[in-house]
Amino acid sequence: MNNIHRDIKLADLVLLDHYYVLMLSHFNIHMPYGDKTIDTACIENKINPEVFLLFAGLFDSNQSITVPDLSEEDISTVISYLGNCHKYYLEEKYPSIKASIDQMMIDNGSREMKLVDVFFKEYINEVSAHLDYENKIVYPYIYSLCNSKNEVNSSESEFSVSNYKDHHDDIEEKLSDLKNILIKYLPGDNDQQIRRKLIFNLFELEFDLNIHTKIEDNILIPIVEKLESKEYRV
Amino acid sequence: MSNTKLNIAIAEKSELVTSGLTIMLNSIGASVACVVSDIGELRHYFNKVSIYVVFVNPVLLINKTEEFNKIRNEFVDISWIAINHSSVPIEQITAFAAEISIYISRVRLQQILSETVSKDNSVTYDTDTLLSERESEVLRFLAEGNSNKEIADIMNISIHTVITHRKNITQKTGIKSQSGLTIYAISKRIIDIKSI
Repeated sequence: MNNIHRDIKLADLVLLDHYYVLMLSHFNIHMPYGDKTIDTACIENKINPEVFLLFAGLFDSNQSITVPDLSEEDISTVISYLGNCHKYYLEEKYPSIKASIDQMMIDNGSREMKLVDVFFKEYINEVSAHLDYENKIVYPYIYSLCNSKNEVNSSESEFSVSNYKDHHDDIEEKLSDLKNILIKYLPGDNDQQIRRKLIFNLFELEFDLNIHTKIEDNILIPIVEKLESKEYRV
Repeated sequence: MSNTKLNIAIAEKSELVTSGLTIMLNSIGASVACVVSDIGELRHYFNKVSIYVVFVNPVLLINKTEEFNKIRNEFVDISWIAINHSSVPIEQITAFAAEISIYISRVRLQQILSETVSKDNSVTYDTDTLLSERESEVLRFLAEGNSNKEIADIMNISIHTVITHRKNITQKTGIKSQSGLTIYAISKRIIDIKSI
């Protein structure tokens, strides 16, 4: 994966790994791609190709990420990307997972299934609160850091890096637990088809969430820390 | 699944429902050992015959929770299946392994029975039991809603030991959260659903 460069065609990227369709979609780059290269598509969509390549590099877990200095527009691109991820989870993924669980409730009358339903509802509430926190507190805070001269006092914002990271861990943990329960322990025999659909759905969600978390932990948070330290330099 | 005829009890007041259910159960090879109109009468039969499944109308349990729980605790191997007369699913989580509607088909009835019974068999003869006795204990207290500190106090061990047990449980099951572990505990009959 480390031979991705800006002259590669979008279509070839996608044919290499279909996940890129989702990544491109989060960047608001739509199909049909024609024969466009990464470079062309980025320029058309006012995206810094370096940012795109930075994100594409997150796939390769062996590659260490060095975050370049990002301009205000770049930071805006990153936040817009993350915002699109949120929409994807809330408007597409979670409703479809919920529909599968509702269907499973019909095919699977066990008491454990009822608890799985409750478990998922709790998970959704936690995630929605987390996404809300990001939309309402984290992103505005970052924008304010970008825009400020020496005005912003970071202790005034409610944002806290450690708090932020904790949220991630809890949510990831619940998703992983759900997978394990469905695969290993939830009793039931007549729900195989819908169970399989649900599991595939969860794996897909988890994949995108992992990239999302990597962006937040490895790109966004270092940006915040950099911006915060710049303040205190004066 | 066992080859012996499955012995079933029905606790239901409506003769219409009991005759219909009896006919359907007979046709799928199960044997109805008794029909009662009051759950107290069940004990008499449990002591005489090996009964594995009871179909019960939840209406019979109103104001009888204590008695019902006593019976359940005494005869732990029995699965209880609710007979739902309304078209609304029984929302609250109770001690029922499953619920059937009065519009159930023969095929579906058979499926539910084999799910319920095979689940019990797999728990009784589970050669894949994963957790040690101590770990199962910790899991039980955890699923009942206790914190690490509370578990340490109850079991008279250090909180560090509790945390180690939890780590091992997570490592063996793949489940970390308290609510997730609760579901696991119920599936393995380590706790009863009423105690959470």
